[in-house]
Amino acid sequence: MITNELAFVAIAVSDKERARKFYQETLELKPARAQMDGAWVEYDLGPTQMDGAWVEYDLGPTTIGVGCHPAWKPSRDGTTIAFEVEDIDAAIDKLKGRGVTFDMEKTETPVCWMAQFRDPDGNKLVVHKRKK
Amino acid sequence: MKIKAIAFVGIPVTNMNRAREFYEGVLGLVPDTEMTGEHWTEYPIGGGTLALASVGEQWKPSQDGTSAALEVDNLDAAIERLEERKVSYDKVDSPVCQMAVIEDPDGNKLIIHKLKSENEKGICK
Repeated sequence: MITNELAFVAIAVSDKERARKFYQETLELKPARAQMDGAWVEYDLGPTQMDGAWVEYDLGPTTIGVGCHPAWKPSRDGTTIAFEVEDIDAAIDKLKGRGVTFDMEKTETPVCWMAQFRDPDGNKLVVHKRKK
Repeated sequence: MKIKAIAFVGIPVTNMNRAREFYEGVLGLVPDTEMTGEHWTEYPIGGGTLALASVGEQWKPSQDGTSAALEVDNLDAAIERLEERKVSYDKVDSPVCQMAVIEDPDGNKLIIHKLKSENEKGICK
């Protein structure tokens, strides 16, 4: 029933300006639609639901949507995104230099290296480097 | 720092067999057998990877937080399948898409997603 596509991965945040700074400045993700200049897309899902905001970042074939909505809460548990990087040591150094703390330092598995950190809302994120 | 791709989207589960019955039996995903074991199962979807992880207390499921949206070609057929398998869902319409929001057996939220045809090359993608 599922086509060959991950439509998007959605990250819930509580403060859209703080999240914009983190995802666009700390992680250096580029907002998907340049013509909108990285602005949040404000949306209204109708009278039964409260207004929200949403910004998208394209990473290869997959889109990440960072969304702010009163009915949708961040979590320290649950689904997690792993970002593939070229140089994991450089990525970890850079993030630490920007004040990011890691709750799992660089760890080796049979197929990869990874390290785990948090966004400002506590959502779990991973930097990941595949072994060849 | 150059993030070049999403390596994977990882979903924590507490019972790998029950989770696989849901992701494979209900959602119809096909695992990559090379990367599948007791604690970890991978499903290649397009250029992305959805992974199930069963690693105990250090990584627990949640009804809040990050969520994966899975694109279907026919939302009505997908909903019929969910009803057949007694999976409850919330149907949500947005200006650009229709969604059925469901939970896996551990309560992790998933979005079954269908772009409106006029937006398939548009705002969501």
